[in-house]
Amino acid sequence: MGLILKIAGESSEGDFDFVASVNDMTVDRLKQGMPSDAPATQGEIVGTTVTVVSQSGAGGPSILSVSGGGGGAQTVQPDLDGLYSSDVAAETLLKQVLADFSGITGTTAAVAFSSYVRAMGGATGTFRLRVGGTDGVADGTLVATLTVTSTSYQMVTGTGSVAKPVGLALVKLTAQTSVTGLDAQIKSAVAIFT
Amino acid sequence: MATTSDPLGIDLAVSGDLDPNFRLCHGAENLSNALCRRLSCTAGALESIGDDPAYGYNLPDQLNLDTSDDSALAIINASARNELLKDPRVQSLTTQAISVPD
Repeated sequence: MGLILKIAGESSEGDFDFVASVNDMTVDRLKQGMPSDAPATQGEIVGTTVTVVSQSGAGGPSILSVSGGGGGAQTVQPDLDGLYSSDVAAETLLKQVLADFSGITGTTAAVAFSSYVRAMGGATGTFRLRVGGTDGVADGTLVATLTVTSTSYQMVTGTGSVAKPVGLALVKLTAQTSVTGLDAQIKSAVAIFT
Repeated sequence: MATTSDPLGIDLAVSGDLDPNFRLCHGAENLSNALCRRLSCTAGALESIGDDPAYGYNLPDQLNLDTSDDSALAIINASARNELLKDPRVQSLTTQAISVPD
């Protein structure tokens, strides 16, 4: 059997669509600007996926920079950057990184958590920032939560606090959609612990 | 070509094979060609040259699967879509994989 792929998308310059033919060696673009009957809604797309759409640098855990110093208050800013999508109704781990909290003074770390988020097709997207827990699992202490129902990206900010971890601890970004199959998407997340 | 810059980039027109006249393309055509190339590249193949290790999903390799099977087709469709969404120029995307007789 052969395979063709109908593709319809949106870029910063507007909509695009084309048909790609898959042969033994390559994927060829057959036609641009097709009369598209590709799925119009997320709900029509087959498959249930958690997507790491893009992220800067290598994936996986990394030691994060601690800024500040010089005798002043230090902050911890985990590298949560990237574009992620989940259409799973259960809370799902998108990214985890190791952060060194040893430079933060006091017993509590406050956090400002901001990101551009959206949810498709009327679903509610919920994005959580967690600290600690088990490697590779969407657990840990909930620090801040962002929710969105808009289908266009909105910048949303949340705040919270957590008992300051001793030394290194996992910082986790998770996502959850209210309707299986409807994407909850997050990009350019930033969390600053002080 | 009148366009000297394009937010979606300008590149040699390569779709499957290089254009014999070395034609340039831009805009949606260039983006579409780039997306096709993503689906022709084995995942991780660019890592050896220091490029993005997450680039690529080799769709031709999937032809060995029984694409008459709905579940296999669903996996191919979802995987292809995930790969295409990695392109930073793509804001949103739907894909529909269709099995066709040889």
